[in-house]
Amino acid sequence: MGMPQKRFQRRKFCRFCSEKTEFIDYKDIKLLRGFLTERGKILSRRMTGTCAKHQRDLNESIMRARNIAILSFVEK
Amino acid sequence: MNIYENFVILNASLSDEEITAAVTRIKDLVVNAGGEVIRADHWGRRKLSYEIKKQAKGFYVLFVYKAPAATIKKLEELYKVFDPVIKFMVIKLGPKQIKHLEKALAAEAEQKAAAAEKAVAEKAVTEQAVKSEA
Repeated sequence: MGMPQKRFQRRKFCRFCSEKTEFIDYKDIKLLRGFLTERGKILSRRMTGTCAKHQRDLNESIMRARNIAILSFVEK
Repeated sequence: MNIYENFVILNASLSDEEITAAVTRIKDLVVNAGGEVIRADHWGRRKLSYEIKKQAKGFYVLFVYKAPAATIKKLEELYKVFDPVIKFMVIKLGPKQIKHLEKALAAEAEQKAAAAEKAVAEKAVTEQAVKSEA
């Protein structure tokens, strides 16, 4: 009480853990797009709040999608 | 025996017959080499995210095989010299993915069975109707 209010940011959580995703499908482009910048770079864990395990899975899926030209390596 | 998922990008400028011919050739190779084709989905012509062999478009085909490892080696050798194929990727499925696939296949089979049952039931109903009319 009376303390200056600290800026509080809501804690981020891992989307895949909370949804209990079985595995991350590399064919699901809509999902993968959410974890990329406009330029097509992969967003960091700090930005998205994904846990380490799922970030690794996510990376693998994105790499696969890029390999078969569903996603691009660089957007313009 | 492992389960593999295989994306093949065919040249989009080929005619539909040529594409089906290429697909059947790939299927034949898998079957002859002791494998089993579980699925062959045609995704159709799509824009490629980047140019491959100076092509802006490609015809995507997604195969799912149950095959021994030696088959995949043969398959990859074919892809390297097979002209319609501009890019391919073969992935071995993990246990979780296999489970998911099995579930999907089971659901599909159920749907088919349900549809068949429905058709049979409808037929019976119409037959009854015909009989009652008579």
